[in-house]
Amino acid sequence: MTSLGSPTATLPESADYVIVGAGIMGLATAWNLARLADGEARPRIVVIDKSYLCGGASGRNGGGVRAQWSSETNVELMKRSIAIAAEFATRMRINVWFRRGGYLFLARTEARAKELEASAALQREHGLPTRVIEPSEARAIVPELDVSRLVCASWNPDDGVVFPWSFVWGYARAAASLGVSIHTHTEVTDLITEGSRVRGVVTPRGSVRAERVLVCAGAWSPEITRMVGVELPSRPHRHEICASEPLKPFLRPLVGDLESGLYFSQSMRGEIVGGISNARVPEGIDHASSMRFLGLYASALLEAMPRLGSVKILRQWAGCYDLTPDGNPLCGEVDEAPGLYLMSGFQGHGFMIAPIMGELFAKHLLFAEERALFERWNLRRYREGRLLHESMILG
Amino acid sequence: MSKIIVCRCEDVTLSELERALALGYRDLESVKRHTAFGTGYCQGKQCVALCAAYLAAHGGAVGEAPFTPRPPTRPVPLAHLAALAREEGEEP
Amino acid sequence: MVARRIERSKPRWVTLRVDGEDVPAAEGEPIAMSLLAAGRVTLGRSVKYHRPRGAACFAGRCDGCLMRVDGVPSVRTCAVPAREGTTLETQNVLGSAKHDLLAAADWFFPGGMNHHEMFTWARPVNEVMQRIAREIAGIGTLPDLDASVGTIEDASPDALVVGAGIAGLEAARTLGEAGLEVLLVDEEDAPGGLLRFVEGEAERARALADAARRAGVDLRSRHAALGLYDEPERGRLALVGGERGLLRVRARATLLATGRTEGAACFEGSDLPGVIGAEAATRLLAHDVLPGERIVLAGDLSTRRAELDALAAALRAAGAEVRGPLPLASVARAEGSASVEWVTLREGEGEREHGVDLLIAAPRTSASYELAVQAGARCELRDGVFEVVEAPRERHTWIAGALAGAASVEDAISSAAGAARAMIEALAARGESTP
Repeated sequence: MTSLGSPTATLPESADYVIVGAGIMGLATAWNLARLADGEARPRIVVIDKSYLCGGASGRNGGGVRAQWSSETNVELMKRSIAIAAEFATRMRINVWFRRGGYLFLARTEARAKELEASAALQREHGLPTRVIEPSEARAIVPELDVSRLVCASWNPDDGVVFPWSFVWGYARAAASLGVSIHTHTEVTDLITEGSRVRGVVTPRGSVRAERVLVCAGAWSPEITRMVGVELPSRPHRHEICASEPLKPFLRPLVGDLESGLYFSQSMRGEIVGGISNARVPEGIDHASSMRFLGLYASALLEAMPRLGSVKILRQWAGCYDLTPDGNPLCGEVDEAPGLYLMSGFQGHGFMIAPIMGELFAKHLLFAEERALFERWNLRRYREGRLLHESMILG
Repeated sequence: MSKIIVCRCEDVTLSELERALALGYRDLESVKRHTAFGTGYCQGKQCVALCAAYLAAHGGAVGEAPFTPRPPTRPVPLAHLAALAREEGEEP
Repeated sequence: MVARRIERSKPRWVTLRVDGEDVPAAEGEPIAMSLLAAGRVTLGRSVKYHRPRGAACFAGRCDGCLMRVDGVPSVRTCAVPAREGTTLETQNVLGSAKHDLLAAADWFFPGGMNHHEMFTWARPVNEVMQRIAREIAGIGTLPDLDASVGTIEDASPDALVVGAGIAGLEAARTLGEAGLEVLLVDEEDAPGGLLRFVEGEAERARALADAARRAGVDLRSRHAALGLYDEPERGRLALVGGERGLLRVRARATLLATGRTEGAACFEGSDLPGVIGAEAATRLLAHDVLPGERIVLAGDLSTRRAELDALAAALRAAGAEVRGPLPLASVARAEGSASVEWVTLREGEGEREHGVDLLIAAPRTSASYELAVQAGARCELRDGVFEVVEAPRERHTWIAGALAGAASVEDAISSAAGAARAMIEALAARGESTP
């Protein structure tokens, strides 16, 4: 494997692409850039991360992978991302434990029911089997679910969960085998500029000059762009998650409640992994855990599934959502800093959408494809007042 | 059988630690993720020191803290945690 | 395996129901000990390879004694006091704990399975493998019944002391005598820490606990400090778990005296039931259970010689044949079908096999660092174990005793006294006067 933080490995002095962030987004992009380019024209790619692999959101999420979204763009992209996820194990030769147990979104009010119905209809237009079902059918899918205060639920049996870390390792190994150089435990401390043009990065282990610097740093992205005076509208928002003791398999889908942000699913090891929204979080990037989260999560989970009362929680942790005001990401070249490209602001679903976004980003960079998408999601929409919308954000 | 188990809760073998090192994972957090040691029922109470010692002795970079300690220090029933939803001073 | 009871005390006998069979127990003793005394060494199976598992630490810090208790999955039986009619069921086996058909996994993958890469050559076979893996994953099944919400108690003492070993007791007493309101929490059944089991010191610990109580210290046994939190809009809180619920503690100062943990040793067969720690053996003797009659005792002689000598003597006095204390490195392997039956020791140029009931493997202990590190203390690996090398960075938390590196009872007492004095000064300096 590559250097992966070995103190003796040297950083190349120059490359065609420097990718800041070795999470799934950066690594998926790196692999796609390497494999899609023609052999001779294969670009020199360096991926840099200040921590260890899986140290960021890629290593902290619950592994949910769904196509149930309220915007056409997200539905279409996630269909393709799920298809990539389903083939990942055999293509990259690393198990990712992708299980299509479905996603069940609960509606406890008529207003939410209407929203889910609208989203379900949109999803069906795009070929998904999503249906809005009665409480009794929800109960048949999850027998332990208390459906007494349920209006209805949105059900897509083809959504699933994965074991997230293997995606990072799989992409890293595959990228490295194509010559991508990955350096962990290496912090980008500054960007090299010539005028307003970005020309590389500076790290304590040396500088790397490159025509294109890709910021795939998730919640840390604003820190990077700030180095050239570009303020992103995104803000980190701590989201907590916890895991229970391992139980024999009983829970088929991931169950979500958009009202409270509660979500929970059973991992391949049998643990119930889940989280819930918590408005009271510290400013900035924070990975500490709170007692308040435990109370919110436990009471909401037991309301949904009373039988879990004497099931024990083993550990809690946290990661940061990378939130933007309109719930849509920031992608593409930055007008104010040519040579600097963004791929961040994916709220709490950056992980699941990275397989397809890594591919599209690479195609955009190599062949100027996907112009419409990168125009839609470019940072300049904030300047131009073209904000978007997405309502099915969970957690 | 001739396995040497380094983490009982997750059945992690010594050969898996060796393999993680060979793949280039040297720090405790990365090896923990790759092998799953320390992530089982006892959350590392039995195995973290011995895995860290092994890594340190075989080219790993153990660094400072064992690894980020995750609360709770022992398993807690959801029914007990649910009571935390009641704020300090709030009536039940 | 031949464990037996030492007839010293006269307990009240109760009957446990274990997988449908009656098993006698002394009322109130840790059930894992009742099971051992009744000859039940193998209590369950491990998650991946279904290797036999049994209680190893007897202190609520491993996974070996887990059973389904009164319809609740994966309960540490070493932490459950025996009561009349308690029902226990073995989990995660196809057959029994001693003869689990799923142990074929251990045999089928002699070198271990590479779960990252196995069966990744084709999608259909990968999907089948995943389905099987999911089916055999997990340990316990869903509880039989719903559980009612636990109790919550809010406490705001001047000082929270975690750990009622000699250091915690000394500090709590000092703080109490200085007029501070002190909450002392300890996960054990009774205060005194490990000194409860040391002849001559047990009385001293009891006296100190009495003195602490007389000084007004609120001493809660069977209460484990679960975590230290910094809550937005709430400040610093500690979460403590009791038997029926939780304590939410807002203390002005916190002292961590959590002592040390004896982790697992590592050699071929070290995970077999019947391989236990020295601390575990000490606890068993204190409960009048002799854990075996043919014993090999091996451990870190550089740091634990005196303790292991005393343990060997106590085991012999109870009628066991003890080989040791030997250096831990002399253990080549432990073998047995469902529990330890043979230990191979390195002797001179060669090796020799010994028939045993019990192998005591006592590596160096590590500081019980979890809460200290949550409070910002710095830890380092030294001689293969973790030591706290820098006290918590945050202002209101101190450490004392064996956690802070005290190597003797006297060191522990003086470190505790020092910490208590510092806490008293800090609280006074903050302008909050002591009553």
